[in-house]
Amino acid sequence: MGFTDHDDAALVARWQQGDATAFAELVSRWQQPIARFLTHFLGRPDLVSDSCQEVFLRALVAGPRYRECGAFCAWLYRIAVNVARDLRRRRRHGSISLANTEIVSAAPAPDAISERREADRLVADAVATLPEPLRLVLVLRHYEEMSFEDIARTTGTPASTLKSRFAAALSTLRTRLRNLDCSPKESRS
Amino acid sequence: MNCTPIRPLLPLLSYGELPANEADAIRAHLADCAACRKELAEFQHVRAALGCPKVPVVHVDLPRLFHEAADRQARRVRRWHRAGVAVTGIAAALLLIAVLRLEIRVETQQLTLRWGAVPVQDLAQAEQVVVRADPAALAALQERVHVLDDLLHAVIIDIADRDERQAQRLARLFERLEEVRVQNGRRWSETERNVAAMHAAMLVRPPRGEKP
Repeated sequence: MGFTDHDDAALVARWQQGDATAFAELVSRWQQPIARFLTHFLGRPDLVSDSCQEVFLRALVAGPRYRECGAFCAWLYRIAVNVARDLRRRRRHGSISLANTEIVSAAPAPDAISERREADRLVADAVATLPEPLRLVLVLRHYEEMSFEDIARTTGTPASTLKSRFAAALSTLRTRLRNLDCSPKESRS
Repeated sequence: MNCTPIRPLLPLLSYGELPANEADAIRAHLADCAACRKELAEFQHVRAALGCPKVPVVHVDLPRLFHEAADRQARRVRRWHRAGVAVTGIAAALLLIAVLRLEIRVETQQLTLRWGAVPVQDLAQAEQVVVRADPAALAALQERVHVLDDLLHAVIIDIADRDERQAQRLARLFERLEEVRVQNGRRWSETERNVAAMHAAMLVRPPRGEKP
């Protein structure tokens, strides 16, 4: 994922000059990536649609104050992080589940499906209960496939700190999944 | 190289996030260390277990978005307006007290509210009155009143300015909303036409003898 998209910059410029269709284009371009991020970061697919709406509403209201520097995407992700934080603060959910999220895979047998769903649920719970700074870097690196430099630009945290957090997140997950006894079986090779 | 400096780097190695020379050194160590190999395998399993869950398809409702943005803007304007009225009220009250030289005194069994110069018959307080009516103090007071007056005017002009700007922004937003509405209507009717045409093409058979 690159942060220096000239198309975005051109659309932002048109939007700031009052072209509503440019904003609509930005929304259609970014609504799915933001939805994907919120799904993993919130751990609640049922809240994603409303949260996504709120992200673009805040972007629309704050648009005139946005200074184009080739990082519209980072700005949008920052808004999404703030929306997710506000939502969590309001709801104060302890454990959050991704129970109704399915994992993409080749169609396995029904038994395998239920086993797989259970394992996925446990993995998703383990991710959702990570401390927020660790979860944020894990989601952005693993699911959004951002580089650490781009994550640093988005979060305002040094890349070296992010790498440490990412290693800590994976170590925590490794321990939790081992304790839950749902880590994938030893490789066959 | 022993295991202690290697282990914290294994999560990053499993995602290919280490520089080539560092990664090579670690791989050389892994060739001889079964414990570190096992740990790296566990991190790779965690990566595989995280998988790639399906994400709900989201469609942001643009007309609602513009409506809500306009509402928020209107609320902000109202807040500014209320704050402006409150500031103006306080300033006016202060001005009134200063200009009228309002004096409120609570004594046993009487409340005195007095403005303007102290009456002559209040001789007992003549000393104090003389002090209050000191021309230098009066001039300073008048100067302050002027400054307050100027400030008040500046605040009023600023508020009126902001109100006007906010109203203009609101009008622009409504215009944009109207454009989006019109576009949506146009697209909807076009879609309807297309669907009707498809329906006709698929379901309506041509009369016998005619080629489809």
